[in-house]
Amino acid sequence: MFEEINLSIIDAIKTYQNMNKNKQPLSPHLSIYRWQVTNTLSIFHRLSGLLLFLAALDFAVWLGSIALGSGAYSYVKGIYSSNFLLLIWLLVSLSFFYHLFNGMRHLFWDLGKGFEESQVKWTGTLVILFSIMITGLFWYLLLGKFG
Amino acid sequence: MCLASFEEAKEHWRSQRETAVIVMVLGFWLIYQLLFVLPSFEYNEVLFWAAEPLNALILLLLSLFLIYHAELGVQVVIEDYISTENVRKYVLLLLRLLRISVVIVSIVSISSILIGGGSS
Repeated sequence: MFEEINLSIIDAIKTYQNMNKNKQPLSPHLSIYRWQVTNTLSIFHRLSGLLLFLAALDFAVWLGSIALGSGAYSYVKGIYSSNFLLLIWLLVSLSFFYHLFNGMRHLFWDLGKGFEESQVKWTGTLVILFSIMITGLFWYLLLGKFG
Repeated sequence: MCLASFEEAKEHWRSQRETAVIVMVLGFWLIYQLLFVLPSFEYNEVLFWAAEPLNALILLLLSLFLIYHAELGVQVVIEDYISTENVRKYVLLLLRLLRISVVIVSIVSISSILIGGGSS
């Protein structure tokens, strides 16, 4: 059974290499994998990271607007507190906590810990539960204070 | 693949983890500040808060480490998923320009908040 799996992975990689002759080898694209908890979490780590990159740009814009004065600040604040952007901030906060907790998981892996299949699964589930709960708590406190 | 790019990759890997830990700590600080310290999002309150020297320093460090960490991560995603060499080159260049802009904006903004913030 394992041989079969290994073979199919090798086939996939070979097909991929043929498609990209004379180029730097690429990661197999997402469509190649079977969806399961582990790779879904890994892909979410990247997606949340990309969203947080955009949020980092917004953070710098916000700092810039504070420095420029109350006119610029109100302008940016007006945009940032629009309904659409509020929805985005919700996603950003969820991404932030998810990326943070899953990042801790990655750091443990880098130390060589948590590699057992069962560990990978329960820590992954914990990360999902934690990020949703903490995001909920964050918005509860934030809206309680500012809303 | 040559040895030089391997060394670079090693450094990249290390920096990504080191900045991750720093951003984690500073990120918790920002969440704490937003929830329990910053009284409102009115301009005067935000300016007063950001002009506090320790806050200004941490905001600057957060912005710098955040964009550096983000650049390292996005770079890997670009290298993994953009196959056309030319496109990849330009997207990586754009990424670097964005990072440099953020660094400049952050340093200039925080300096000017620190210098002018107390008076207004």
